[in-house]
Amino acid sequence: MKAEDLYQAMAEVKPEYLEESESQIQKRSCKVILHSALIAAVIAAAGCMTALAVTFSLRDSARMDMGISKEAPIPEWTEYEDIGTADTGPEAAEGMPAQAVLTATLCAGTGCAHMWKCRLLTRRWPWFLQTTLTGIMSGTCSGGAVWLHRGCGAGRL
Amino acid sequence: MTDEEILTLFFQRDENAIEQTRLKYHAYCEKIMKQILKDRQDREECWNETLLRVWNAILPQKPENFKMYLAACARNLAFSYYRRLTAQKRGGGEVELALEELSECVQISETPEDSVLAKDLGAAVNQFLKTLDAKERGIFLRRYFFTERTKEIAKRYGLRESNVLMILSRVRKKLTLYLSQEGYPI
Repeated sequence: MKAEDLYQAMAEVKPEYLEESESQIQKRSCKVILHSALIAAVIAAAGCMTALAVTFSLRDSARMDMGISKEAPIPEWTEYEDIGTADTGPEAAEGMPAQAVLTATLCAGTGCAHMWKCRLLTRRWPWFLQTTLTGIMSGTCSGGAVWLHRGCGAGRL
Repeated sequence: MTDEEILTLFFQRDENAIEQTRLKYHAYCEKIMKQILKDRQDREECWNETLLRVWNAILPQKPENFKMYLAACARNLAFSYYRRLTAQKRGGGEVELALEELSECVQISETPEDSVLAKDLGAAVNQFLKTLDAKERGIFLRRYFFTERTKEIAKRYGLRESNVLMILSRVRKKLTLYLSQEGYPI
């Protein structure tokens, strides 16, 4: 008897065994896809929850900081949400970029609409979060220990 | 078209059965034959002969699992081709390695008694496979029925190649023991 006979004899294997080996592969592929989808869903959910938690805690902290109740509306938070339709006055007509116009408008006058954000960032959040959020605010506030507000002038508080 | 519908066409001796089989299972059988035969033209000939064999053999018996029936036919014919080609020194492929591995399970001899035993070998192999767990059986069949590479098997089962080699070695030892207990010369 030769190895070839044994190899040839394999041809008489019951079809259910062959089918079983085929389905093992398919099951494995399905398992991998399911695992990948599950991991992706968990990561996405964790990201969303973190973003929501940061957003809400930031707002609540800011309100507490300014001594405003949770129900009271803060016009500065919504006033300039839509930059495209905001009434930015005569500066817009002079061809200034929208963000620059907005910053200038916010910082005009005696008060600073963004000062609560600067204060919050330096006081309550760790360094990495401070850096990230300062970046998001795209140059409106510089953060840092001196609470410098670019639009309002150096060292103003 | 479902297997049942294709089989009905075969039973009605409708030649469309051949075309439908080709459409549905050519790629699958090609993959099995590719492990045994390197040359594309040889595989094409082998596939045509498989279809002819199925056309002639499917009556009066009706296979329970048409896909596996075709797979077995294609594999057997590919192996017959391989034997013929190795005689002409044109063989090759993964099957040589598989045969080398299997040679440790049987004694190489040519006695009349051996040829009688070889006829019952299929039944003995089936009995042996029954004793294995599903994973071992699957890996063993992927290697020695479908003649897949160990690397390929490892990838499909999510194992390391060394694990697959170890499982195959363990199963071959079990097979050797089983065959010796059944009276096969080892």
